[in-house]
Amino acid sequence: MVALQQNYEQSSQCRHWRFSRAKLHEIRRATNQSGIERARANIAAEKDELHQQQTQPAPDSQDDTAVNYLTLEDELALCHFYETRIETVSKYFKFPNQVKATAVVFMKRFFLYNTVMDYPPKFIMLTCLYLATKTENHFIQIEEFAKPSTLKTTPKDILDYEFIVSQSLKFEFTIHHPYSPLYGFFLDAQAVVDNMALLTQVYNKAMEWCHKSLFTDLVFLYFPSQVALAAMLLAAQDVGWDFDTYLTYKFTEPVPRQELVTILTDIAAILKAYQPITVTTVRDIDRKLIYCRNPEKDPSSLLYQKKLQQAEDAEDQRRLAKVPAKPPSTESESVAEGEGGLVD
Amino acid sequence: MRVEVGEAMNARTESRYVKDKKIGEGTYAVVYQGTEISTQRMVAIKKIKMGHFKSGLDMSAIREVKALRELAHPNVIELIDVFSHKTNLNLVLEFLDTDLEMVIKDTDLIFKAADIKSWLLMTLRGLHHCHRNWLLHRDLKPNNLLIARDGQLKLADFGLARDYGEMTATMTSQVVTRWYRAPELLFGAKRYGYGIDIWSVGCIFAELMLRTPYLPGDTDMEQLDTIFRALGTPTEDEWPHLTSLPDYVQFKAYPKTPLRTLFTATTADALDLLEKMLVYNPVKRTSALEAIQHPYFQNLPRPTHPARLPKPAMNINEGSVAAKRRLDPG
Repeated sequence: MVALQQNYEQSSQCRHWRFSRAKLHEIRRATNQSGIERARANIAAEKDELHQQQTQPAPDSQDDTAVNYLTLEDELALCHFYETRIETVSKYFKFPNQVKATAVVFMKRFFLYNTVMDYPPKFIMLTCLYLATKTENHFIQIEEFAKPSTLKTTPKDILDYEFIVSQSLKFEFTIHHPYSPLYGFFLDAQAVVDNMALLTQVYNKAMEWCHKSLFTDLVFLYFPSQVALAAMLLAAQDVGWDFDTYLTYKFTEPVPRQELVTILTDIAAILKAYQPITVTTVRDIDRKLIYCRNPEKDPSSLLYQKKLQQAEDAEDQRRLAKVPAKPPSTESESVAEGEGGLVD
Repeated sequence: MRVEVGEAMNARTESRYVKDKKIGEGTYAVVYQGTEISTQRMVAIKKIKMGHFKSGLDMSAIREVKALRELAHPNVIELIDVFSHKTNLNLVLEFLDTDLEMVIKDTDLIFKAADIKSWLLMTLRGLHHCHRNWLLHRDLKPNNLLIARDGQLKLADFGLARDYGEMTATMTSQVVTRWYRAPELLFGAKRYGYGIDIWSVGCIFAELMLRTPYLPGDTDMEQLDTIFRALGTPTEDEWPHLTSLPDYVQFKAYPKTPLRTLFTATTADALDLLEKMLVYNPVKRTSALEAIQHPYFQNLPRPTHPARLPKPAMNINEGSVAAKRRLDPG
């Protein structure tokens, strides 16, 4: 027990991805704020582009003052919605819990430092899920993954974001979930329990609570083992099992036990307060997003095309300088289609 | 506060290092000698070529990065940084100039019993660290055990490493270079544990004493034959469920010959430990921790201090040969 605890403390999850509530909020606030600044500056630049190219003004072009940028709450709601889509897609592919759960955590970590105004959450969601199939040893070929027509995606869409996602994850791919500790507690509790049928019920209920925990902030706030134990506490209340006896058996020292109970109570409160997001709320936010996306990251924008062209020119220059005999490459990358709607 | 998005962070990481020269190239990676600019520390930069893999980041790169990001131990190679550049993934690793295979093959070097004990202990310490983090290395062999300038031995090449536990699904048995592959893998076992790494360490231990690979088989079938000739053909008694392994085939019943016959000059405690690492039944095979606690490591002679271990006379250019060979597993 002690050795495992120390192990967890050395994990990247514990070292780099655990925050106080206040810190978590501060990071998100800053991400949202700088996202708005970037979007605002680039929307202005895109307008200049439009003007310079003398193209027809876009029908929905409007004053910057009229643009409603996404609030932090909007962003969180939208992310939350797409987190729950991971479940739908995982069900289709029959991915194990581990893949699904890791993908959700990847997505949460990604949008801790990035904003949906820069990166479309639908594609990021799919990239996170695809990356999770690899990191959780459940690899499938990209063609197979991008195949279902309901996903409205291409292999390129997903792979284009793979490095961007990996960078934001700091290339830390090991994710610890409450599932394994929960299973450990389940085995362990058998030492003090006669009624196996009841304990199994507790375990199954607790699995559901652990599952719910994925869609909350708990992964940033507490140890997976603490979340698992709190899930067990709630499950015990659900099916009428004497949790305290087990807790007393497991944690004999009264003072640390009391501290643990405080933690478990807090986790249980977060779990009970969890509310799934409604599709109507998300539709409104998604509509709002159409006008405040950062054009720099939007493949259908002039700004994006310009930057792409600049990058290609620079690359050609570099190649020319390197190998003067070889003509520069003329083929240009096909630009990915812009994306608007939600996953069906 | 300011937050830094992933792309900016990546660019900043990349700018901290320069590639000085290419020191090795294989089918899936190129290795450069490089420098961390701020400290002038010498590093190795392993650039993984992405082109050949159409599904994006490839599995061995993912496995290596995933494993090394979690492991910090003096006997495990340090992954200092990771960054991507266009379509390439770059791993910044600590620079290590030789490996145990080069040491074993250098006929100018004489090994004392205490030297072997030291290398084995460092190997087991690194391995125990992996196992206590629920990680199997799955490719232990002398040229994946790198040696630093100060003599410290470090487990490297985690491209096959994966985590395991009670709840993990089945795994492929096509792992570990053949000569170091445990018999359960050769019989196609899909559920296995830390025992496969211990078997490899046993083979490396024997190789350190013999100065030549202990169980060199030319094919998977011949590998089993080689093992059984050396250690006797296992029976269902000593290895329950042996006959129900997926690729089980019956072999000629070779008798069990005592290890002493081959390892004539070795002490009894060393042979006892070797024997415990090469137990057929994976469940009965010793663990890394038990091995570290074995009397062999308490008894005299004491393990040689890493700095005083024999090292091949070499320069950087020779070092690049090691790097190249490591990238092209034969």
